[in-house]
Amino acid sequence: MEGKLKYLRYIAYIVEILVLYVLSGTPGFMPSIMGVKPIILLPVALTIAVFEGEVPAMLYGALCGALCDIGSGTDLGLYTLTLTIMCFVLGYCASNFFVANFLNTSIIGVFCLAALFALHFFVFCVIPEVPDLREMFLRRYLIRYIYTLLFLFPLYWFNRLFHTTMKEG
Amino acid sequence: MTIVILMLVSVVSDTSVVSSILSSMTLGMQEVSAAVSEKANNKSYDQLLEENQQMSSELAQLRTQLVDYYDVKQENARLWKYYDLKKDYPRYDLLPASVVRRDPGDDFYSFTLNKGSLDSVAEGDPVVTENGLVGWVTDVELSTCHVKTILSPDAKVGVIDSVSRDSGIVSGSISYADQNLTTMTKISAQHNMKAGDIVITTGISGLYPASIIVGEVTELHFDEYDTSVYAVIKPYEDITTVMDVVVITAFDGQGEISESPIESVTLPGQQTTTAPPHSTVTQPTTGVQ
Repeated sequence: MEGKLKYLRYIAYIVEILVLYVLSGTPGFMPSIMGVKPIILLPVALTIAVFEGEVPAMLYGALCGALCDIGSGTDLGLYTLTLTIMCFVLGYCASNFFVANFLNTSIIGVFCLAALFALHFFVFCVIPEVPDLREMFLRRYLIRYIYTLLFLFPLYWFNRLFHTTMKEG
Repeated sequence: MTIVILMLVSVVSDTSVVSSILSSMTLGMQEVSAAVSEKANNKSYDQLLEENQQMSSELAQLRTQLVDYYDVKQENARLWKYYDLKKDYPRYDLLPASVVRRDPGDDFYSFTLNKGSLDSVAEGDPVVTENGLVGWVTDVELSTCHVKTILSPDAKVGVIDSVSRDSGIVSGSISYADQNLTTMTKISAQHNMKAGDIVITTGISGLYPASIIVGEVTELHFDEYDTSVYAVIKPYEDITTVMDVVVITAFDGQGEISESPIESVTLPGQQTTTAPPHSTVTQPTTGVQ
């Protein structure tokens, strides 16, 4: 029974990721704020990571990252790499060093998302010397960061629900 | 005696008193009779239920037919657009495609199409609509492909003003992408461009066919850093929301550097190959796609 619930939860996470991936890319579904849409799979990966151990967290991070990269048609795989590592570390820390509650997840989410967007900005805008860097940062990355961050909170409760209802023991 | 009086009154007053009295007397009975008859014609609850179920079923069937009708209507509109494009560009291999995904992480409205390498789509293929150039294919999978739009700074499309014959390069900008605008840079300082001019592709590099409409000049500005002139171009298609496009999978001169003069490029449908009288000296076309 224990094993069954665990695998059911894992499957539920995969379904959640796939559904959100499809919905986030559906034309006209997600409202845009100042021409910017959120990258929902980033908070999904982070909120799953705080509830699961490091290995499942890493695998879900890799899946979310790969979908982000596939969806944007980029070859570099920056999200795959960063989310895999970040979720592994987050999963390990959540298992050993802190309690996965709302406050801790929110604080960690704020910093992790900031780090992800900053790295993306550096790799795809600063290094290739994209024109209008300041405008790019203020009108795109900052707004997208805030918009994406808004999804962290409902997704925390959503994944917590999965974790508590399909928890063994 | 009474009957005689009534008959007399009837004759004198020219009114059928008898018929009036009879009508009054029978009216009540008729009403009762009609009510009984109506009640007799009323259906039972079971009959009504059955009828209701039958009508609900018919309604559901009609709704399905209505959805089919709208699908067919939409498909018909799409095919008409495709037909118009085919008429405009008879020498191109055109492949109609639909947008299935828009990348939420991209700032320049790139999208994914439902056609891939199985449908002969290749990297670099131009993507157009009946209103003009939309973008180009950057990444191809088996059944999908990713398209970057001309709103992106990665776009480098060689274009020419169809009126003044000034050439330049269309490349997107973060400042304009939100408003479905792009920019034309590398314009000669002695240009004759003005708002309202139509900008078309030159086709010199062999990456895009010649004479594809890109958009209309809306404004001309000086770049604040190098004081060069750039034009703001409004594509006729709303690239931020476009759903149905056409991929040009093959065209004359694809992949070949054109040797024909840039002045010979004209708007689609125009037969003249000479530049208008007020045309000016064009920019060197080296590096222009």
